[in-house]
Amino acid sequence: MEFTIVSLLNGVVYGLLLFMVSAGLTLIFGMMGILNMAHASFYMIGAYTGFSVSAHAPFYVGLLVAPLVAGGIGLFMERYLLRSIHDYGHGHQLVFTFGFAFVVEQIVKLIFGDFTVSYHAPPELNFTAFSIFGTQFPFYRVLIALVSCTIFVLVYLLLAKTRTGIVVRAAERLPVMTSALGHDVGLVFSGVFTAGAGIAGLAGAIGGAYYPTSPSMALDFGVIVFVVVVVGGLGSVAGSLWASLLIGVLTSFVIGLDISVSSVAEMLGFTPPDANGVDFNVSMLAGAVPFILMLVVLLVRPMGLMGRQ
Amino acid sequence: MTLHIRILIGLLFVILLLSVPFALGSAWQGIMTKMLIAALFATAYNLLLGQAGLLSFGHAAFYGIGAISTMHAMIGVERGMFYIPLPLLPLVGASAGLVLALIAGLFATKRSGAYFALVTLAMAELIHVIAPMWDSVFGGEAGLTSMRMPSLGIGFNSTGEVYFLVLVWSAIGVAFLWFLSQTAFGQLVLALKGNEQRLKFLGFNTYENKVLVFAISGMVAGLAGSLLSISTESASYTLFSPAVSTQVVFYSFIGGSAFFFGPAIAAAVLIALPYQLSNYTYAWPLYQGMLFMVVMLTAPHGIGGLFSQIASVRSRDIGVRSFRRLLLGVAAIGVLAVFIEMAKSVGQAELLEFITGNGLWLVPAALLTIAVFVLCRHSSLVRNLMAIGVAFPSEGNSTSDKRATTKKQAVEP
Repeated sequence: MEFTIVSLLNGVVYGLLLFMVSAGLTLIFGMMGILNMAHASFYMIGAYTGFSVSAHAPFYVGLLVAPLVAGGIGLFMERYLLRSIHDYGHGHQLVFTFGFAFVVEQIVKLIFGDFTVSYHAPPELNFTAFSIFGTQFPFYRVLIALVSCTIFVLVYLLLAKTRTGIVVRAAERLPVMTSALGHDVGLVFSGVFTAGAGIAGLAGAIGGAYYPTSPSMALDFGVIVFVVVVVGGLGSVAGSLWASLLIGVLTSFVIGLDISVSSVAEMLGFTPPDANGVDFNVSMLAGAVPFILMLVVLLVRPMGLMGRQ
Repeated sequence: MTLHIRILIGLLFVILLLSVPFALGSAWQGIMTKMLIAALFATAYNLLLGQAGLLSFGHAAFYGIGAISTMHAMIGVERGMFYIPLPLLPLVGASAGLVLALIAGLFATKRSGAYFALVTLAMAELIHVIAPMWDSVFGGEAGLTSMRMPSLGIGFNSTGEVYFLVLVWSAIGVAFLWFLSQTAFGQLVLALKGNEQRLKFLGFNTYENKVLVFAISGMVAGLAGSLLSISTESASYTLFSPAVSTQVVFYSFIGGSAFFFGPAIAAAVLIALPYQLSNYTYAWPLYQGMLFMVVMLTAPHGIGGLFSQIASVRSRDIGVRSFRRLLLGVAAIGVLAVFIEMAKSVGQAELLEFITGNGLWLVPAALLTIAVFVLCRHSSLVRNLMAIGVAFPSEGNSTSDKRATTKKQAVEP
């Protein structure tokens, strides 16, 4: 019981952070069909911006600056880089963003060094929110979850209830028709790309203070963010929320599981063979969970959990 | 090019490959070995990307499995468990690559386009994540090491001998891929890229053919990985990392995926350059990534595509313009590189003072600005600026016919 609840809580928080990073990509991928490999780079840019700002100013200033910086770079990328190779098709855009992510990683390594920087939440946020089974649950994780939920609600309301949301959804479904009705589709795309990058930057500034901030964070997250988008379904914000939670909770449970080949063999009544201390434990698969999930979804149900056909 | 010139170039190239190692000594033999391996890997990858039109992000898996399996075979030979002559060991890596690619291909080729890329990426990442934990197969974090055993009367203890082994196998691999592209099957693979739907109507089983071409590409990638592990006498899970897949994607796109030898040449050059500059350069991967971005922006069909544009009368003007923009981009990277290197060697504070004190910062800033403007000529800001004559004199509709021939997306504002 204790294991279940603690794993569940950890998984939900991690999943909500994943959602914050991938929310923008869901829209970008769904609208423009661009598989933006560099999306997690905005998460990293946000984290490093937060880190740089926190050296000179209060932590909270970083939370404001990070989305602006990430959004600004996103705007530049969409407006001046992606658009100029737009005519060569999606394959080129995919590979180009791949190169962009690579360059961002190298620049970060050059400026900040190839190691984990010490970026932490301010001490006044370091208190226990509640205790459960003697395990103290830090308030900061609750904060991550709250910010993520707020963003989900805001994005959902914006898309579902406002006039802007209607235009955005229309531009996603039928861009030509929308532009024929007098809406600036290019502006909508830039706006969505910028907002998506900005949200990822905010996630970086918040999440980077709890999870490690290092040059490899974009790569680690990059593929997982895709898993979220693919599993959740093209362009479905709610789908990506469910997918994030699913991945977060699954990963967190598998890490905690202590089932190995030899223990299963013992349970079934076999004497475990002496494997020279090399035994395959299920928890080794924790990092692989997202990829297994993505493979299964891509091969069985490529439109994702809540995507359109 | 006429046939005679082609044969002449080919002969010159072979003579160069055979004679240069003697002239340059063992350091260069080692570098050339790496160049050959990278060229073979890039050519194998390009069978998939350039000919079949399948964008894979997970070729590190086959490269890595080739290296790991060869290492196991070498360890077995070293311990006397079985005997395989060293020159035949690459066959082990090639078969491992073939088997893994066949299995992966059965699943991956069910999807196409971006989804295919994601499936391959996920597969390679899966192995990359599990490998460091699985000591008995992948040697854990440290990896596997072994020694080359003398066989067939050859010691294989000098870099020169290894170079010739790699040369022979690379030549076999590349020749195999070349002749494959000339066969009926090769034409079928090209047609897969061109119009898969039509092939289906003509009665071909496109799925089986895609699996086959995927498996062949994986096999040659495994061969390349195998050669790498023989030359370095080691292999570890890092060979499965996305960075390896990235490298080969870079080679193919920079060289030009539509050309058989484009990726191989790009791979060889990009491997050799950092060695040449290794005493000076600090951030080679950064420059390489930026070069890739500049090539994608200015010459989307790679440098090979650029040359063929310039060579053809119809598109020479476009080609020359693209080439100018490419050169400008490369120059901008060069200037940036000089400043990064100076900053690293002089120390940031002194350099900052030197640059700002003399107003020198204007030079790279101006160059970079110009470069960005020229590279992004399609953008509305630059178009507007050009209209009022602030930026460059207009270059007319340089890309208009290129645009007309490619699929025009409806979302252009």
